Amino acid sequence: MELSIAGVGTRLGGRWVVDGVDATPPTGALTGLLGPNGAGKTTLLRLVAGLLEPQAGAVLVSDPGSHDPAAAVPVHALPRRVRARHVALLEQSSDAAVPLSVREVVALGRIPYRTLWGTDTDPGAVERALAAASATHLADRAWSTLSGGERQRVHIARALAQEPSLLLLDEPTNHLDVAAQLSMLAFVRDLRVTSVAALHDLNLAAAFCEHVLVLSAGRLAAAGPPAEVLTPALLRQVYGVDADVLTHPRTGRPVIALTGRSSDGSGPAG
Amino acid sequence: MPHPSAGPTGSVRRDAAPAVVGGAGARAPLRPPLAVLVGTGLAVLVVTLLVAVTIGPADLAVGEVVRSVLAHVGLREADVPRLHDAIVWDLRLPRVLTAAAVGAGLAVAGAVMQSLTRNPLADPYLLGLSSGASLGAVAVLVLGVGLLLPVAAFAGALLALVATLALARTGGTLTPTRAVLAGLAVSQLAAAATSFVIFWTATGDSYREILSWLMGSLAGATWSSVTIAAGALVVVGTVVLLAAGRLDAFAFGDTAAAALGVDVDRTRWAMMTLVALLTGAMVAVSGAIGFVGLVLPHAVSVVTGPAHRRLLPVAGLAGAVLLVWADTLARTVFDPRELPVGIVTALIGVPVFAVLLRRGRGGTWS
Repeated sequence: MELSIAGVGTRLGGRWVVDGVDATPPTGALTGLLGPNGAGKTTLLRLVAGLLEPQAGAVLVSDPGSHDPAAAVPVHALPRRVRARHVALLEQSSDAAVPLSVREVVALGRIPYRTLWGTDTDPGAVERALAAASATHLADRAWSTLSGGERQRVHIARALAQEPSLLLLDEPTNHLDVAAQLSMLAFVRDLRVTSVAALHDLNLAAAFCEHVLVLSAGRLAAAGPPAEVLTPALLRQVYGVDADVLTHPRTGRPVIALTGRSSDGSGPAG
Repeated sequence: MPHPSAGPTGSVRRDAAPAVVGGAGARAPLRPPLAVLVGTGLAVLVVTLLVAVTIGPADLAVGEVVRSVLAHVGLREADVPRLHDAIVWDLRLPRVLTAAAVGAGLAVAGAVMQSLTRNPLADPYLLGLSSGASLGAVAVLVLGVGLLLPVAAFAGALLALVATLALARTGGTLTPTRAVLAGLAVSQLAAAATSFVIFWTATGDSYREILSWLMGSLAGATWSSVTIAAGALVVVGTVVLLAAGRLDAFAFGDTAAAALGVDVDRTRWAMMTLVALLTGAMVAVSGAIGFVGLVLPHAVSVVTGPAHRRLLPVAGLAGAVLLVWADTLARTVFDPRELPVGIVTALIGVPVFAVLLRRGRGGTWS
């Protein structure tokens, strides 16, 4: 699904939490959404998911009801069920104690596809989503017994059950160990679905994202391929840190080596 | 645009399939088909109704009950002795049917409330609905306009709900915890107002009548009670059942539900208003009967699982059966004196709750 963020802004409590963001994340690839705490990453994801209506600008997606690939509609104007069949959002990991089995959690992703009588229009979809996320072995476990990494894997399966063409992830690597972080992002990247993931770890973003958006105090500070965007100057300006940006000897991707808070004392705006 | 489920190769899916079947056989909790559960529940309910009607000071046989009922619905000649027929048709049947409808309504209302607030301790009482309904009902009782009782109880329930949600939203978003706390406050206020009304106006007999009603009693059940309770149950039950999928979506909270295509605010308000309607009708005919709405959904979900399409009908049937037996106990154990049925449901409900709490330790409720 093609995604275009056009001058999007929204206020919360009188303050512009997201302010005039213009961006076009690449179609069928993983885009990293970066920025310090409070920069507006979660709010922007909710705007892109169509859960919040922007007070300025619009988030445009390919019109799922049109055969013309160039036809675009504001995402918040899509009918709810249609939107839920095309856009999936993984919230920041919640350790909610829900009394469900893993299969039941994944089946929640099929709610937009249920008939009036509650039957799924595609009965095999839950098992396919479990298999696609390599979570089949967890299917009969109780949600409350899963580890953080397993929960995230099941959340991914739930999102895949929605059969999204736009996948939004809010800090999907939170609470995951290093190996799980790598496999999570590699998995999302290899889906070849238009995806936007809010990330804290700059090196993960540099390694896995084709494109990054950097937010600072609600505004877009930079956008583009990680190697062009993640410069020492930008990191100092946005995060208030001193860093050397090296090139990974094998992958050729940028590696950010942090050396400390920036010496000039200029901190991040938020 | 590549489709995510089309991403993995076909061989992955084929490999995964046998593991799923094996895993389901070995570890899946026992979840009988819905038709079996509902069929069993209906059968148990019918037997319960017939047997409960035979129990009481005047000895009746099940056959007599069946013949009397069939005669009244015009399916056979009236051949049951007049007195027995009157006991069945005018006294016990309306009471037993009211108990069934109220029990089912409370269980369904409790299940819906627990999902909407994501609080396993939610029941209509917790959000102030029953206290509000009681206040409305007691007010008209002491004013001596008992005919308005169902209307007043419903109005009271609705007012309490509005007050609870308004209080919970003040200066913040409507979270489950805030809803419960606000409900507690509204409950306390309505209870205090009810006490005040009783203290100020009630004398002797009406005091006793009101007290028994506040603790929950089906002693006054008539055919119009059956109509009110069953009518509310059928209307609200149907709508709630059709919204079962939307209730499922609340498992991971409001944002997740919205991302699954649910209109969160509208669903919550509509469902809560419907529950208020149901609770108002229940309280109008039977007073405030505790623990059915709190405990039964949990007990039933052990068997049905949490999917509302399965949980709601089975909880309704179980609630009906439970309350019919609780009321039968209430009216016979200390015959000729009657216990308020709320005391019986509390005596049954608390131990069941304790068992569920032990089961849930480290799991759902931790």
